[in-house]
Amino acid sequence: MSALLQSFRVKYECSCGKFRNLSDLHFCRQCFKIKCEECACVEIDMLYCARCLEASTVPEARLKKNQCFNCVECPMCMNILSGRTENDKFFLICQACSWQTREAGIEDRDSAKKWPVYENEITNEMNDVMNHMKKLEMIQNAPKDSKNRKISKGWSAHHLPNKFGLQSMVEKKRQMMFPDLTPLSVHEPEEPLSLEEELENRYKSKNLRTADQIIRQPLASSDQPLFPVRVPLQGRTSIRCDECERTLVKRDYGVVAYKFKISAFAREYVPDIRISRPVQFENDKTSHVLLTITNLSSSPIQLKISPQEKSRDDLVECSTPPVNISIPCSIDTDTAGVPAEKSDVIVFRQHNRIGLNFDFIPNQSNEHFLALSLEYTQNGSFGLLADKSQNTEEASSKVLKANVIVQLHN
Amino acid sequence: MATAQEKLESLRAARRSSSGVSAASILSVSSSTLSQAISSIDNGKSAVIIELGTKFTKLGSAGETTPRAILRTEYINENGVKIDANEIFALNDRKKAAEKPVEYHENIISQFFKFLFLKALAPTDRPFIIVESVFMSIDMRNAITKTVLEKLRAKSIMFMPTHICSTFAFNSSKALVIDIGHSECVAMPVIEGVTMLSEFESAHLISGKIIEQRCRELLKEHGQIDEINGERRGLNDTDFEEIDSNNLIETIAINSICIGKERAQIWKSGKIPEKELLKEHVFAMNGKNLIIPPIVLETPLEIFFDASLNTQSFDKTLPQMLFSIVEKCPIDLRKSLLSNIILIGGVSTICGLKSRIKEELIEICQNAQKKYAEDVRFYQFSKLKNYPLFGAWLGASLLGSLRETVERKSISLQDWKSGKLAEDWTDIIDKNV
Repeated sequence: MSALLQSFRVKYECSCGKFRNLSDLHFCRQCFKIKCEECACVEIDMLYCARCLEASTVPEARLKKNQCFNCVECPMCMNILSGRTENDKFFLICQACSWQTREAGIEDRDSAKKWPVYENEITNEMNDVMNHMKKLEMIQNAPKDSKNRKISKGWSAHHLPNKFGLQSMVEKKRQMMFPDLTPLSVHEPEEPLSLEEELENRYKSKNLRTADQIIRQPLASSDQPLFPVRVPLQGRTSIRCDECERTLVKRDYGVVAYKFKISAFAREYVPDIRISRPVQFENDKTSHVLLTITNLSSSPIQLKISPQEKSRDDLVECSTPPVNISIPCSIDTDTAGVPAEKSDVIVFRQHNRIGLNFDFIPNQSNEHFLALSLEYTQNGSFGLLADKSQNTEEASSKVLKANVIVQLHN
Repeated sequence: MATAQEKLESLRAARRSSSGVSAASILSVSSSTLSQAISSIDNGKSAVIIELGTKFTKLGSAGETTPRAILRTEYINENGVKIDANEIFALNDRKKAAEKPVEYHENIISQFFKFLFLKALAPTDRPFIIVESVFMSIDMRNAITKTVLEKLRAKSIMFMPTHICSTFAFNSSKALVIDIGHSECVAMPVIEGVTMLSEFESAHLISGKIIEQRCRELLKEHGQIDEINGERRGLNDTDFEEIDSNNLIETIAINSICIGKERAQIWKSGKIPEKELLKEHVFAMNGKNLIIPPIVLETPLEIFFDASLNTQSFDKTLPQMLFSIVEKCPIDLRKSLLSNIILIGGVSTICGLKSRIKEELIEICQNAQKKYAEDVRFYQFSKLKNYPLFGAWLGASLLGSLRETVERKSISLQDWKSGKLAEDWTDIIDKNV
């Protein structure tokens, strides 16, 4: 649709200084600023499997190791594997490359779910190393703790008879601060295998293993067949303003829901400008461009639209003086079909839409951009602010600004 | 003697800790076990570990032994253009970085991190550990710090050099770490947790990129196409376009092997060795068959060992490099270095590379009449062949499980805004000077 409407030809300036399409921008109602995805905070709000659409929260996904336990992909070509039955048992087959689980030596199973994956063989050894490192850390930190504490010399639990079980507590505490450290032996270096031995063990397959296949299951050594790969989970994001930390976009719960719980898209707050007709260029002669301005917000807009001075080479010089107009909101149906007043600039008025004619002189280069600055006030859009402490009257009379660049050439 | 010393030390420690026990601390005895239990249950905020490689980026959670994801270091930007590792790491290359403003590079890095994290891991409020190359530029570090702290809202960030990380998993205190990555090879000894920087050697010649380049040259020379009508012909440019679209050069490079010196001599002299190691490989491609002869798979790694093949640079060969590191080291260490080699980086998974390195080292030491190579050994996990792919990541993951250490070494958003930079491992040297 955006290609058809060519909405990319009108770009709005975000508060971070980048020019983007209006549909890509958000508007923070508290800071009165336009925000794009790059300058706002984007966060993962939930994760889901793109295949079975099962949603999981962030802690759940962490336990699942960011993988879906039910869906598996073909290890060869990354297409989804589908189940087949034979003698009441399941095996998986890839519809794209006809790879089968039988090729990997996996026996047919009673259930189409829960296929085996490789486990890391050195996990236990690494846990030993980790525990050793933790003990070392404790010893490194312990003297600092005891130094920080005020030492009272008069009383020591060591002098107490072990009547109240205090002695064992103290002993426990000491154990925790200074654990017994038995040095962990080094993983012994080994003689390398000869090439013939390594080749003999290498898994014989018709195809060479590609890098993508290896990185998707690094635990499968070169002497083992590839197993089906669990589908990685994908994140669904929500957007917050980076200044006031308020949520700009939050989707409804559930992966299949297409509604928004909270949405603050810029097009609901900023007048939407579009090019109405193809622009006719006449070299060194005054040309015209017909722009339509639509108010998609819930309240009328007082708008002052003024062409900017030619500051760059690719900008065109616009001779139209600044225009002051008021655009009704879409809810106000009374104003339908108001005839256009006699003006060179305002061409038509229709519901919440106004057509404006701008005169400009094309520049010498092939690129023609028209820079406009908008100043507008909205009466009602900020009346329903979440933050009541802010004066709504002040908010409604606040003059908002936006810079727009219109690409006139094709 | 040593045990008596230890006993004495522990007694002293006991006295130190017990002398200050008060009512409050007795309470804390019982509560600390509880809090420990809680912290082991709630491992939600464990650190995020990322290793940025020129080919693959590994990311995962601290305390785990396998990365959650290994991805190619590239992304597609909003205009549909592929941004590759060269552009992401442009700040490491001073000449390239100067072409465009720093903001441009920062933007690319932040887009790449968003691509990495907003798809999978939720990084907010977690500490970050970045496994860095020893030679990462300061601009690059700052750009990463800025992105991670400001854009991704991480709790804190810390950098760890690759070489020291890769020794953790083996619990070794003395090792010669050779990192053969996609863009270069950096080798240096790590002794008792200290990276011996002045003894380092590096070469752009020994890298995955060069293997791919060699594979392309060999394929051009020896590869053949089997047409449908049975005709056999050499490869032309359109064939190479198809090969590139299948990423086949990379696949060949990964599946290549490293043969012994004797066999390499036979290939070099233009003869075909009697014993067949690999069969001719046939790859179906758009209705024709690409024939990959054994020489293409067997000889690309010769460039690591054969100085006569290297016409582009003054880089040393791999055995020469290792030999000169050993020569540079203090005399006490020399003999033990070559029996404690750690090979990491994707290239190290190639079959036969280790035995060839051993063979060459023995020869070079014999020629120089030194006894360094009497016992050449490698640290390796026989159960996990692909270990070198994420070796440094694994070490950082072990380190990341030490919460207090991570907390102490990393900087937060507040620190960053007050002008503090992420702790660099060279800080210690700077401060001492």
